[in-house]
Amino acid sequence: MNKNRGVIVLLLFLFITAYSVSTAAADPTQIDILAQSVEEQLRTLNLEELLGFVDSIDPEFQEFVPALNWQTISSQGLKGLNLIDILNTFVRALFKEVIFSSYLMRQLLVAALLSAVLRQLQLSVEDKGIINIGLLVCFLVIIYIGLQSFRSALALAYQSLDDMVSFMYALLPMLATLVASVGGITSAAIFHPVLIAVVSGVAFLIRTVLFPLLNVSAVVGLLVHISPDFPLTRLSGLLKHLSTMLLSFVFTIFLGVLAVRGAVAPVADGVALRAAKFLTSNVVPVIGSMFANAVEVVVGGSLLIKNTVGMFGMLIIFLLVALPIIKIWAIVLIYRIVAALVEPVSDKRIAEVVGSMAGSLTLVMVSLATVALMFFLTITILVGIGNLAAVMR
Amino acid sequence: MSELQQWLRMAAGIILMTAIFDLLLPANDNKKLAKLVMGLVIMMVLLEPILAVVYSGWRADWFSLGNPALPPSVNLADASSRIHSAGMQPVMQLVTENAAHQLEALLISSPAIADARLTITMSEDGSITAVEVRVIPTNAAEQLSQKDLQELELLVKDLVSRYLQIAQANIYVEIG
Repeated sequence: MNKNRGVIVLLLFLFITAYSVSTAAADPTQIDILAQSVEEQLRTLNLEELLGFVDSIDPEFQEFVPALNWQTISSQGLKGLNLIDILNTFVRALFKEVIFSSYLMRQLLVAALLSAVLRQLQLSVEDKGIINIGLLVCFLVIIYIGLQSFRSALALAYQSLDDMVSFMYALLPMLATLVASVGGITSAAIFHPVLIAVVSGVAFLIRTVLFPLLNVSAVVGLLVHISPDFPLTRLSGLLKHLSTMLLSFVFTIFLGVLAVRGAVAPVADGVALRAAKFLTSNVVPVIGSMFANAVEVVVGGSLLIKNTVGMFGMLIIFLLVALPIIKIWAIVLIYRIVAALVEPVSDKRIAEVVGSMAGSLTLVMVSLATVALMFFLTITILVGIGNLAAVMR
Repeated sequence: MSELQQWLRMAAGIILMTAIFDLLLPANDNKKLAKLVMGLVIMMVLLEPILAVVYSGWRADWFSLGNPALPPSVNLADASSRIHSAGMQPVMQLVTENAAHQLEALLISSPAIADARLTITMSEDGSITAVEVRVIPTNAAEQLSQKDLQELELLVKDLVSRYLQIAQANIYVEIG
């Protein structure tokens, strides 16, 4: 609850500072010099690397990525975003994926219905062994289809995780540089290595421990029902428990690291900035105060750039993870629909296997979404720190 | 992770085999015994990864996962000062132009000076490193004696150095 409130306060703070800075920029006599200053800074910032990641977003979503220039920055990058449009595109993408993956539904339904027919035959045929083997074959076909789609979903998750991590590696140094140029040199020097370590640690744990664990848990979840005499339900439960525990452990550690961040560094930066401003405006005569005001304009421009780049980063992370999540979600939906359809006609085990497949896929989806959320929060923190330093000025 | 995959494949294979055996065995008293044996086999397969750890003598490196690849570190102070100075360029130009106009007005108010052009060079921290002054005297430069010229130069240097509070050595005056 407390953490929630902290995040809300932080977001409010971010918007208020962004808004106040942008209204200050609306002064017509200042706007030209601010625009020039911002454009010079953007040229030095070398944004090509960051913009290169737009290509790895699905073409349909690329139109939502704002251009990083003065127009976007002066409007804080929010004017071009239409939430309804984005939602519409997402819903359309979901439907497209469901229709694209409907071949899965056909295959699964055929296998399930075949097994239902076989079970009916079992009642009227003398030799039960043959029918049992037929049932087993149907079962294996369903398991094979499930494993195939799980493997493709996991590959998608790996790809999207790698994309997000390399994007964060490009974005964080840039944001930290901007925080330093806003005046938060101490905060940037403290937080940049911590946040990089957090991002790489999270990605590493998810990549090398959680995803393989999910893989094993999905396979065991399918094997559980192969032979009713040797159930592995407990093992499957153990693996699911382990993977969810690992995910919540990672998230808790992450929140802990974020909570530890003190307000000390931003305040120190703010005081240092204020002292520097006092010195220039009082020691250097005539030009001094003019110069101090000029520095103010430049720092204000850096602040605008930093907030916009932060917003841009959040949007890119969101769009990078959106399509993989939608794709996996479409597969989950199909499995759930098949499980619901098959349950009344067919073997109970088949419905359970399909349901457990959907459960494993949901876990993959959730872990991907959690990683995206963590990266999102990381960007928010870094952007917020710079605002704090600039306000203390 | 390849060990894990191998184990997974083996476990899946053995469970499948027991399922097939279970189907093929005739239902009699021996089947119970066979089932017990198959159950034990499955248990051994599942225990295998744990046993592997135990028999390796709990070596610490078994648990290490390697290290994540980190991005190259950047020099934040350098990068931020580069951005700051890039942003300062247009602003600095405005500031120095303003100051130069003020000083020009001040110089012209002196009766000996007809017109003046100033260029102020400013460093990053706001201190003035050099001032170039080009003065056109009221009388033509040829008519002025060497002494007059020196006096004019001194006057200009004095004015500029007092106004901006900088050393006279940083002021370069050109007459005519």
